[in-house]
Amino acid sequence: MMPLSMARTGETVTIRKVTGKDEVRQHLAELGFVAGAAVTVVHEIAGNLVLQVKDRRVALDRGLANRILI
Amino acid sequence: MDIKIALAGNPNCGKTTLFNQLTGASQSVGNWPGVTVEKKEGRLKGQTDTIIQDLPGIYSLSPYTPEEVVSRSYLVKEQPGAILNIVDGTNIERNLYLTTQLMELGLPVVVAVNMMDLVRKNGDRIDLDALGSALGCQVAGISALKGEGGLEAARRAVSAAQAGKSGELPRVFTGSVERALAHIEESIQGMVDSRHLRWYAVKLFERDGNVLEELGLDQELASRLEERIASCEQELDDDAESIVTSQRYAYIRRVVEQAVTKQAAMRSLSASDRIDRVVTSRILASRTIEQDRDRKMTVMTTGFIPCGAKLPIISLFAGAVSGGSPWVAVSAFLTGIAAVVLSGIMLKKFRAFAGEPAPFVMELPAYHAPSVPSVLRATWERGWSFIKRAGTVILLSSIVLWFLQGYGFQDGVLQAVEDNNASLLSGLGRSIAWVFAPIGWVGDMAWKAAVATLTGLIAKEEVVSTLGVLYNVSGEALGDSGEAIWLFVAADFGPMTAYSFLMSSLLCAPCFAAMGAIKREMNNAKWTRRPSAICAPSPTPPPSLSSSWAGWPRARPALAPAPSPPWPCWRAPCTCWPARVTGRRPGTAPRWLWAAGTAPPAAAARGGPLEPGSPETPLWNWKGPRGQEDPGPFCAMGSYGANTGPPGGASRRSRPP
Repeated sequence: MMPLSMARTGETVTIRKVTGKDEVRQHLAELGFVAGAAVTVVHEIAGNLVLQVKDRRVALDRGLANRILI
Repeated sequence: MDIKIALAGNPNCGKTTLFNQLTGASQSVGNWPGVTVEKKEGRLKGQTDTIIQDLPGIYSLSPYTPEEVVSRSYLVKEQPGAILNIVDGTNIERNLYLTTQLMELGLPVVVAVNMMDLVRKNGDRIDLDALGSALGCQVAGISALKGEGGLEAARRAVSAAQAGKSGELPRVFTGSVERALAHIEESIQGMVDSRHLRWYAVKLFERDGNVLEELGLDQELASRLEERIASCEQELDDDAESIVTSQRYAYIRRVVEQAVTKQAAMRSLSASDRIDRVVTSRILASRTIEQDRDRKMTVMTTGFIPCGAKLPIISLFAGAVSGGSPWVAVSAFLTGIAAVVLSGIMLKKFRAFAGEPAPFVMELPAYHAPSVPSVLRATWERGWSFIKRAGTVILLSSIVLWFLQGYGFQDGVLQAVEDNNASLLSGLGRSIAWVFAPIGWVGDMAWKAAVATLTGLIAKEEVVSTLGVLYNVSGEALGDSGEAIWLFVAADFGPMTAYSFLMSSLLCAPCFAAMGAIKREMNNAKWTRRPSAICAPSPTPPPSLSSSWAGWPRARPALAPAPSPPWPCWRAPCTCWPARVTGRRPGTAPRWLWAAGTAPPAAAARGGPLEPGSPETPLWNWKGPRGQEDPGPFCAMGSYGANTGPPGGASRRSRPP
């Protein structure tokens, strides 16, 4: 288990857990960040990530990426 | 007695390579009990009394994967003599996450930084001594692939195991988390092996199911700890697991900053990579605009941006008065930019705009080349909206202006006048021109400039067209030749007056269309008035300042009447700007309020800070509408700081008892 922010560019990882308050988790889940989903790191700038999840691209900042454990 | 050394590390950090190197052929492979996770152990080459236990590759010691579960139960239950933690030097931040957890177990840890050859090749530098002293354990640099340093690291682990002493725990957690952990440690002392105290405390803080089950805390203790954890969560506005994770990473960042020097990445990028980088970094750079307060700030400062409609004003005065000097336009644009930056900095200081940045998440669209029809349609829509504006608002107001400047009361009758200084418009202009006297608008030009400023509120293009109408006394078609108007303007405006007019046009309230847009953006008309108040600081006379206090936002009456006029005009912007932005006079509002006739709150008497949520504060959180639950006359003391709120109901004040 490690936070998504630690994943390398180009790496495809599987989400194990999404932590955080319910509304944050709910929001992330709506975007496709749920346990078991595969996520590819498209791009990384200063800890902020551009991710490919379920065929769409989502930008996340470091704080949110830390809540997603892979 | 055999010495057991556990090899722990992330997947793909070179652990197996090192294991093979250390143990040679003396390996036995099995399964961890109950799970299909491979278990390998072997004896250290040349030291047969030392067993090397290879743990599965893991990222952390959380209980979510079988690998993690077997690793942590091995480390806690079997208690190896020491842990040899293998760390991938090329990805040290991620790898140190596990290291911080291993350290908490209280067992002797030796960190072996692997792939040192690659690190050197990349031009990075890892200061092993600094890393060791920051982590509080021994650190060795190895290259498992090349067989460098592995045995030496293992020997260090053996001697650490023989010494049996673990290093000092690194200070991973800070503030209230550390206090909560210390509290938990104290509560569970005696229930667990004292070496693992920190480990259990962290796991209890994270509400780790396995550990809770294992310890079987009694009801009372469990609820006490839960209370402590919940208050910590509330304070940091996050759940316990995330708090621990982010503090670990904050710690790792500090360690890495001390010990690792990274070469800037020099890899070549493909064209699409570069495009993507530009595009996405702009999105991420502007991410904070997503946030409400920053959006408000952006909207408020846009009024200063020298828009296209202000260009004719700049060129008119650059040509007419300054002989076409390029510095006029340059200074005008620089002033606009400086105004945006300065007002941004100033706005940031105010409570309405201060606060923590919110988490950011945004879905990125797929990029498509725009189709020709949609480009044409967009162009047409924008072009047409300008034509409509020019043909309606600007045309109509030009007609009205023409009428007003061409007709006047002469001999008591409304009729066409020769000299527009006698016109209706002139009368109107003169009645407000005194407002602008402080910024040097005097004489014949004053009323024309005042009228142009007013019409500029309709649309900035109007400023030049108004001047055109006003100076078109001889009936010439000024629109055809710009130079004709130059002569009139140059004759009426001196260079300094012209520049003053230019600056005021640039910095004064945006046009009605822009104000309408601001209102839409803010969903609230009160914000609209703020930029306009800021925008017209120098021409704003004190009387309008005091009237602005009445009915200032949140339907709150003014704290105090504004100082009486006249002020030196230069003081007006300095004082009225912050005051109008915040809706209160800076630094003079009371820090403590309490109902008259009652004793002042204890904290107020102490002069202590405002405690949120304490029973002593309610008066100024009083939010009821006026007239309802009116707490009566207030007493007040001191002034409030930047972070404490303004008194919600500070409508009436009396002297402290």
